[in-house]
Order: sequence, then structure tokens, then C-alpha cells
Amino acid sequence: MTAYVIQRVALTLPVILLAVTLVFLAGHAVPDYAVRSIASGLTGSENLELAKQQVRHDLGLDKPLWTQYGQYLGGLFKGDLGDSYITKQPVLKELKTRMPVSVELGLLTVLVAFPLAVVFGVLSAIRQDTWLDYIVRFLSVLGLAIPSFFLGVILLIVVFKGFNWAPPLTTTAYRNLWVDPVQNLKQMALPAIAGGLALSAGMMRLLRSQLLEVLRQDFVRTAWAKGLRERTIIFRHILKNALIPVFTFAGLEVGILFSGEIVLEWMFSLPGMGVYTVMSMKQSDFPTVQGFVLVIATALVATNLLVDLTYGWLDPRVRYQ
Amino acid sequence: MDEPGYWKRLARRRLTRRRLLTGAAGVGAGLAAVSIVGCGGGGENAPAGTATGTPSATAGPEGADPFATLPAMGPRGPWQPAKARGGTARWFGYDALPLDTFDPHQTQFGPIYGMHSAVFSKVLMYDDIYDNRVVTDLAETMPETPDKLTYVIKLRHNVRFHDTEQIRKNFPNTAGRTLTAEDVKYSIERQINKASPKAALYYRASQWETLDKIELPDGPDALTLRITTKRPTAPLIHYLADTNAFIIAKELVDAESDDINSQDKMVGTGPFLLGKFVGLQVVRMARNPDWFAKDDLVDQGLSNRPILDGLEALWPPADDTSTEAAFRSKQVDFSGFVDSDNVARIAGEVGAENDRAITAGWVNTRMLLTDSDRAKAPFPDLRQRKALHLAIDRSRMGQQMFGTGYFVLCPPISLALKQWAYTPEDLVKKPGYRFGRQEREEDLLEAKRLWEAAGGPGLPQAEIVVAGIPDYLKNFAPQLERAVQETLGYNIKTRIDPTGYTELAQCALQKSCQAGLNYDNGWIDPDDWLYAYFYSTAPKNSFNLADPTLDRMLDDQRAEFDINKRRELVLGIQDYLLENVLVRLDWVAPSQPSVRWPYLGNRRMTPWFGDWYLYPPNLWIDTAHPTFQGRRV
Amino acid sequence: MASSGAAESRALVLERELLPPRISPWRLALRMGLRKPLGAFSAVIIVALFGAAIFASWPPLVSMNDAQPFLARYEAEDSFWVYNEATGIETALSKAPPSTAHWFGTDDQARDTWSRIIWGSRRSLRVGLGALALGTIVGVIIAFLSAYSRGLADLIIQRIMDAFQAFPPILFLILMVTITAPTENWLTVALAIISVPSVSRIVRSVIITTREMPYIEAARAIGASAPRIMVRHILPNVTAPIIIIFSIGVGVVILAEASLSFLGLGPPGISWGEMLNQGRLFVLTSPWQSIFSGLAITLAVLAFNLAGDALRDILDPRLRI
Repeated sequence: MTAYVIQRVALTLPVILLAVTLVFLAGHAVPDYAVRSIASGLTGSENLELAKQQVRHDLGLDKPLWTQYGQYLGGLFKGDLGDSYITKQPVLKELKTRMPVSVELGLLTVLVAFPLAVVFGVLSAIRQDTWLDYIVRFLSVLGLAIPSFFLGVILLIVVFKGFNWAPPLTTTAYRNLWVDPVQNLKQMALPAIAGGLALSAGMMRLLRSQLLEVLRQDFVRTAWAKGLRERTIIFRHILKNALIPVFTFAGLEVGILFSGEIVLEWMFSLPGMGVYTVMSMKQSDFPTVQGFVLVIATALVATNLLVDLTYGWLDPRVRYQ
Repeated sequence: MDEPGYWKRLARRRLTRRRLLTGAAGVGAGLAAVSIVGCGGGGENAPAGTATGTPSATAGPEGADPFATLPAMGPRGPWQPAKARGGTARWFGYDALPLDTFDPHQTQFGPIYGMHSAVFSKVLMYDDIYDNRVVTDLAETMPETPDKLTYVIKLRHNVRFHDTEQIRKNFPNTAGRTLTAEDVKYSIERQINKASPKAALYYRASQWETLDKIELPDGPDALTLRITTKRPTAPLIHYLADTNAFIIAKELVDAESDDINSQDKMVGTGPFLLGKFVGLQVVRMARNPDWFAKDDLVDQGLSNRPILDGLEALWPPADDTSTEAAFRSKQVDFSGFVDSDNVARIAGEVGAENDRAITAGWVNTRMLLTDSDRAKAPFPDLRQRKALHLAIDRSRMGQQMFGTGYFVLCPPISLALKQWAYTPEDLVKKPGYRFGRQEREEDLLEAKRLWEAAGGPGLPQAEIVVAGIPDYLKNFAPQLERAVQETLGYNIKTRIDPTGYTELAQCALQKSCQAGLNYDNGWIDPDDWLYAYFYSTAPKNSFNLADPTLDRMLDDQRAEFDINKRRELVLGIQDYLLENVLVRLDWVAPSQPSVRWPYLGNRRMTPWFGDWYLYPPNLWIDTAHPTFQGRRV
Repeated sequence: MASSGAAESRALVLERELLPPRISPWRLALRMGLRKPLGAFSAVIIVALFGAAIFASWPPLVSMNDAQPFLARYEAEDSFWVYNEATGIETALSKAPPSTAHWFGTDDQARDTWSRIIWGSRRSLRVGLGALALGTIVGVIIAFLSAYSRGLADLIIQRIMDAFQAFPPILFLILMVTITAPTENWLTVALAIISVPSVSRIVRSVIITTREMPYIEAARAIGASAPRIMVRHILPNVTAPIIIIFSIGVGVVILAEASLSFLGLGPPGISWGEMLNQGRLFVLTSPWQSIFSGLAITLAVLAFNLAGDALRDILDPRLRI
């Protein structure tokens, strides 16, 4: 087991490094809006070239690429992600305020999706080929196809026209969960539901197919023959086995979700990571982009790793491949 | 492009595209005022559409006063006495636009003038631009003018810079100190300092260059200034009251870079303190308890101003649904909408007020007249520019950008400036601004003729950069391409400025764009509308324009103190521009309503940016008003 | 003579008995369609999509400026105005509900929604098919390279693929588009890059499994060269998964492009995502644009997903893609 763990961990580090390098290279190949706009704020047209050189020098951009790369990596080890070109504040600071928002949205989305998926996946599997099954399957296929932002738009209209309810403003009045849970949940409700519905579709399908596979196996028939009640069979034997891949799926999705469900964040004006990364990209604020992408990539890879390890622990067959 | 078939095809296309439909034809729901289409078509609102949205396409009575559908513009009544104190007013606006710079003398971005005008004071200020009324702000009395070249200004005694713990920590020398004549002198002179690295960014340099000298007869720490101009300059009073004529503290300016480009340095003498500025999110202001003018309006029932504790300007949500939801739940006290039709509906449904005002800001296109070293002039021949001026349908543009009924046509000086602009009746007769069916056909034929004659069909493709903010501009870009293609058969390429305005601003400085389409701030004095753009050495002359006749006319209007004579001169300049220059094509201006809860008193719509000194100190929230129920404190 | 005639007729009889009866392709399609109704449904939608894209204009596939609109009825930037004879004023026919002149109503700039949806299908298909085609080719090449390199090179290539997959797709898209240029071609390239890791992973695993099969060993034993083995034996095995992944991939890519356009970051031109975004502005007055553009995206993604599912069932139900 230990060997397995070490091997998996060892493999992820180069991946993260690669991802960071990719972004680093991308950042330094770009038409430099940031440099230009900072420079033009410093002077009029005549001295623009001079000002741009000055700005580049100030930001350390005129050093050879290797040096900058080395410096950046060195900073990373010290926990320094650099300073934003635009706000001049440490990237870490902005990260700290925005990460909890995206993480919370991701977790809430899974929290919405999971019960839905389990309930309907189970129902669909044990009542295979009934009208219930067909409806659930249709809905899940639809859910996979429908964009979450379309769901969001529909939800917004329905909630507003039908119940005259509006989520509280989030542009400045965003409240963290521990500061004002009621307000926070009100603000997260619609995006979490929209994302959760979309997510549950995939999970439902997976759970259903896993359940059907398990249901066909011998030990189930044995339990059936023994006279155990349906419910016992499901909960004690089947669900456990069937849920493993579903956990995997959920885990992977959390990784993606928490990296910033950008579109939903943008639509509902949540101050999350994804939205901020996009904004920074547009402003060529590359320290911020690098820092955020680093965190996002790390989170994704770490979640994958965790899921792999958990899978290996839960399913011994995997370990000994 | 084969010549014989070309015009025939074009003509045929034009007519079929019109999709003639007369009479009632399912025009969209909520279409209230079909009457509006620009000046001269006015009339009262047509009967509002029924729930199924089928109003008939009729307009108001012919020949009605074109300003009837526009909000009344004129001297307002007195302010309403305060019914309660305290609270924070919140609204949606573009005030939190990410900035080019915080420096109040170097920024071009209109939305930020609001914050600046709340933080900084000016020597004089406009009370009402419709009738050009200038009153005192920092000055004790209106300047004495012993002769046409001299102005003696006496400042008030008790003007103190903002004083909070944070400011005391950052700038101990500024916090709470008294403003003196030296501050005024410095604020003006920095803008004409040619040695400054920021010289090119002082957009009002052309105003202050009219000054000969500023003297402090009683010494720097006293309160008297004597300003002498080089020549008789009629607009000088205006310069002292202009939107950006702020007085700042010298010691806050960074000596090396010559700017006060940081949030912390927004320390002035105005009614509000800057609490927080977060781009694309919020501008938060707090009340200044030591404002020197706090008791100026005691006789109108407003003592110890500002009445409110604070202001919050929030960046609008991505869509009208959220905006409406926020307004209905009283999370904001007033707001505009992307789709202005919503205002009347909401106001009717919840019992809110529907405020209208014409803005002095407008949508225009600026073009290079002659090649610069970074870009080629797209339409060097006047006839080509005239063709464009005539070909693009302003009425359509206005309707598509702002909605039917929510725009006005815009000549070189906005109609909001009654004193200086054409009357709507006159405007509507001018080619390009005529919108009747017959007249449009005539204008289009003329456009095609001019285009042909000037070698238009052979012109290489030009690029026009379109601002990315506000949305209606970039949404209009394909329609612009289409309009030019349809009417002149010319392919113009639009490119959206992804950063919003930054690129366009640089374009203007470096003359690196062939043409640009953007929303421009509105100004107050003809000097700002005309001199600052078209004078050969003016800072906003991004056209490479140098016309001696025009220069002379612009100088003449500056020297004319008789307001009626000056008006004649100004109209003459506009005529000249429309006939002979046309490097800045002026299209349309929004006239958009906003909806407001009645518990908020003393809100006045004004046409220009930078009005936070005017009504925000007088705002109050009546907690006893019936509509106040449910508002989160 | 008689004997050859008899031999011939015997051959004919054998032929008829041994070989399956020749069915016309139409009846074959019908049979398959009835067996897999969802697959048939998706095939219909896909054909409709292609039809819309191709026949939006007449002559088909020609760009908007040079052709007459056909299925689309109007040009994309045609605006509609109501003219009042008495006053001579033109009013925009904006936000109109569906009518005979405008099947899906009009938008805020008085343009016909139906025609814009039809024209918009071109973007979705161009980008979807282009990205998948490019991504599949590159993915297959990389998979072969990786599988045949074995050892360290294989590991490195796989880690690089992982690094690319560590990026949330939308962020990667935005980054690419910011670096290069916001045009459709670069978007297609970016989407192709996103598809490559999934394609290469699956193809690689198929290659590896196939390689271990006894008949490959046999082929090697009789002296078949590696390229010959690749082409004659492995490639056919790979075809089925590629088809399936292509189909599902197009759905994913269409969704990604719609998300990007929804954020307002897509290339200029008509896109369903951008229409959905615009439609939100006046959804309370006139929801038609939002509804129909959202439905268009959903249907397109749904069709390709269902087609992929059906193909998987037909080609190889054991495949767990």
C-alpha cells in the first residue's frame, strides 16, 4: 500500500510543475496589456516606449526567461506567489478571500447533486425498465446536455416570477458562511442548485449502471435466495460496491468545480476564484493568473490523487494491479 | 464590384431590407413611447401596449414640441428639507469602472468624476447647467473682475482637508489642515507644467493656458488669489467651476511621477470621504463631518450636511432580472436598466418614481484626418466623411442602442446645453439629422453620390475600434458594419476593445487607431465641446486636425463676453464643423430613465458626470415613508 | 458445360444459404433505428443540425454576404422596422413575440431570432467538428508514439497529458484565446488541445490491450513489421472507440464554446452561447431568445451524446468510455 501511495504522490509533483510552467510560458508570450496600460498611465505618447521599458524593468520582466522562472519557483517554495501588476498587492491575499467562495460553491453543488443522484439512481436501477426508469434516464440524459448556465437563467426567472424572491446582492454584500450563514446560503442557493442539477445527471447515470452491474452478480442472487429483504440487500451489499465509482466521480468533479465554476460565479456575481482569474487574464495581470492557476491545478491534481488513493484503499483489486 | 449592377443591387437591397410593415404589427411588449425617435418627432407617449403587447404604431401629434418627451430641463425648485438623518444610499452605476488613474486632473474616465467631486472641492461650482448658473464652492464670493483680464478670488476661511485616523497616519501634514490660496495656485499650475512627465495627460491644459499669471497678494498661506488672463477669456468662470477643476493638496503629489494615483491619496475638502474603491464592484463613501459648506443650506431645511452617513455605488449586475430583483427588495434605492422599458413598468407596479434626464454624454466616432506615424487616415477626403455622416441612420442607432424612446440625436454640442446647442427644430432640418422617410432617402442618395465621387468604392478596408464598455456599443458593432455595407457598399471592420476603454484611450494619445466608436463624457461649456477637441494644439485633438479658420473661430468665441453673441459664434462653429470638418461624427445620446424609491429625497438627475457634490450631500432617507418598509438598513 | 453450369448453380445455392440476405441500406437503418430509438432520435437531430448549417443560405455553405438566405429566411444582421406613414417615423420591431414573419420572435436590436439560431449552427458545427477532427488526429498520433515508446518516454508523455488535463477547460480556453487572438480558428485549436488528452489516453489503452493479444504475437512471429501490425491489426480496433469519443466529444466541445461565448469572450460572430447571454438582458420582457438559444445548445449536445451512447451500444457494449 505504501509503495502505491508513494508512487502516486511522486507522479503528481511533476504534473503540477508542468502545469505551472505552461502558464508561466503562456504569460510571457502574451501581448502585454498590463505593461502597456501601466506605462501609459505614467506618461503621454512621446515617452511610451521609454516608459514601457521602465515598467518592464521595475517588474523584473527584462531579465532572461530562465532567471525569471527560477525566481518564481524560488518564491513559490517560500510561499510567495508574487504581487499583482494591477493592485500591487500580494496574490496570496486575493486568493485567501476568493478561495473559500469557490470551494463552498463546489461543495454545495456536490451536496445538492449527491442525494438526488443516489435516490434516483437507486430507484431507477431497482425498477429497471419501468416508466420511472425511463423518466429518470431521460432526465439524466437531458441534464448532461443542458448547460448549467441555461438552468441558472431558467431558475432565476422561475424563482423571480413565480415566488417574487431575489437572491441578496453579492457584489459587495457577500457574506462568508461563518459570518452570516443565512445570507450566505441565500446567495449560494441558486448557483448551487443549477450546478447540482447538472452534476447529478452524470452521477445518476453512473450509479445506475454500476448498480445494475452489481445487481447481476452472484452474491446478490445468493442474498435474494436467502430471503433477505430488498432494502437490506440494497443498503448492506449493493450500495457499498456501487458507490465506489460514484465517489470517484464526485471527487473528480469537486476538483473541477472548486477550481471555479466560472460561468455560474459570473452569472450570480459571486466573488470566486474562477471569475477573478478570467478578469486577471483580460488585464494581463500574470502574477495573479499564474498564482490562481497554480492553486487550481494543484487542487485538481490533489483531489485526483486523493480520489485515487481512496479508491485504492476501498477497492483492493486496484492496488495490486 | 461591377459598376452598372452595383448601384442597382444596392438600391434594391436597401428597399427590401426595410421590410415595410405598416400599422399594428405585434411590436414588442412594453413599447410605451413610439413618439420619440429623436428630435422633432416628439409628442406625448402613445398609449402603452396592452398586456399582449400590441400597441399600434402611431406617434404623437405632429409638430409637437420635441422636448415634450424629454425631461423638463430648467431651474429646479428649492431642495426639500430633510425628513430624517443618517443611513446609506445605494444605487447601481458604472462609477466603479476600473481606472486609468486616480489623479483627478489626469483621468479621462467620466464615471470616476463622481467620486472625485465628492472628495475634492472646486473654487466655483455649477448649480444648474441648464441655465449656466455658477455659484461659489471654495470661494467666499463670486470673483471680482476689475477688468476683462483680472479676477480676484477670496477663499473661505474654514476649509479643512479630510481628517481621519487613517489619513493622519498616512499623511500627517495634510490631515485636517486648512486649505490656502497656495493649494489653488498649485492645482492650476500643475496642469500647464510642460516639464512634467504627465504633461500629455492634463486634458484641461488648454483651459489653463489662457492664464497669464496667478498671484497671491497676501502670501501663500492667505486666502486671496489674483488671476490674470493673457487675453479676454469669457469661459474663465466656467473653468473654475468645470467638472475637473479640483483643488488638491500639493504635498500629496508624488514628486517623481507627478500624480496622486492611489486610493489613499484621495484626500480633499469635499462633502464625502472615500471609503473604498473596488474596480467593477463598489465605490463607498463616508460622510465628512467637517465639511465647510455643511450649513450653507440651513434656510432650505438642510443643516449639517451631508445628511446621510454614506453612499454606495454598486457595479450593476449582469442582467436586468437581477437588477429588478435588487431594486424591488430595496437593496438599492435607485437604478437604471439595460432595457429601459423596465423602468416604467416597475415604477407602476411598485409605486416608485420614474426619473428622466437627458445626458450630456454621447456616442461619437473620431477619425484620423491625416496619417499619423502609427496609422493611416481612413477617409482623408471630406466627401467620404460626409457620406458616412449621412449614410448611418442615427434614429436606428439610437433605437438599437438605447431602445425606442430613450435617446436623442446629438449634434456637435448636446441638446442638453440649451444655451449653446441647436434647437431641435433647426437640428432636424440638417442633413444627417433628418429622419423622415423622404429625407432619409435623399440623404442616402447624396451619401452614395459623394462616396462614389470621392473614390469610396476603391478605399482599402478601415478599422474602427469599438469600446468594450458599455455593452450597447459592442453589441451594436455588427449593425454598424451592416449599415455601412448596406448603404455605401463599403466593408468597415470593427474591433472591440477588450479592455473596455484603455486601448481607445491610448489610441487617442498615440493616434494609433484609424477610427474609434465610444461613449464620450458630456461637457458644460462650448469651449470643452469644441476647443478641447478641434483646436490644432488642444489635448484632445487626436485627429491630426489643424485648420486655421477653425482655430480663429475658436479663439473668437473665447473672447466674447456677451452671451448671445457668443451663442451665435458657437452655432457658427458647429455649422462649420458639419460642413467642412466632420472628423468627429456625433451620433446619439441616451435619455434613459431610472427608477427610484420615494423614501429617498432630493435626488436630482443631472446630465453630466461629476455631480456628487451637488445632490448627494442633500440626500435623505425618510424612514417613516410607507415605501421604506422592508429596506435593509 | 453442364457440369460447370451445375457447379455454378450449386455455388449460387450455397451463397444464398451461407451468406446473409442482402438488405437495402434503408431497411437496415430502419431496423437499427427501431432497436435504438434514442439513437434514431439523435440521428434525426444531427441531420437537422447539418441541414440547418448547410442550407442556411442558398447556395449552400456559402458565407452570408454572398448568398441568399434560405432556411434562415433572413440575413443575420437584418433588422426590422415598423413604418408609420402619417408621421414618417420608423420604429424598431424589437423584442417581438413569435409570429408568422418571425418564427422565434425578434431580439432587442430588432433582428430575427430564428435566422440567427440557424446561422449560429454553423459556428457550433464548425468548431465542434474541427476541434474533434484535429484533436483526434493528434491524439491518435500521440497515443501511438506513447504506447510504442514504452518506458520513460511513455511516462513523460502521459504526465504531460495529465498536466494539460489539470486545467479546467474554460480557463484553458480563455488563456489560449487571450494569448493568441479571439478568432474562431484559434478557438478550434484550443478546443482540440483540450480533447487530445482524453483521446490519447483511451486510444493508448486500447493499443496496449490489443498489443498483448495472442494473434498479434503470432503476426510478429511470422515476421510482420511493426507498422504493418499497427495498420492492419491495431488501427481497426481503435476505430470503434474513436468514433464513440468523437461523437461525445463534439457535444462537450459545443458546450465549451457556448460557455465561452456566454461569458462574452468568444470570437465575434453569431454563437448560441452569446445569444443566450444577450437574451438574459430582456428575458423578462421577451424570453424567446433565451429559451430558443438555450434549447438549441441543449438539443445539439443531447443529440451528439445520445449518438455516442447508441454507437457504443452497437459497436461494443463492453467499452467503458
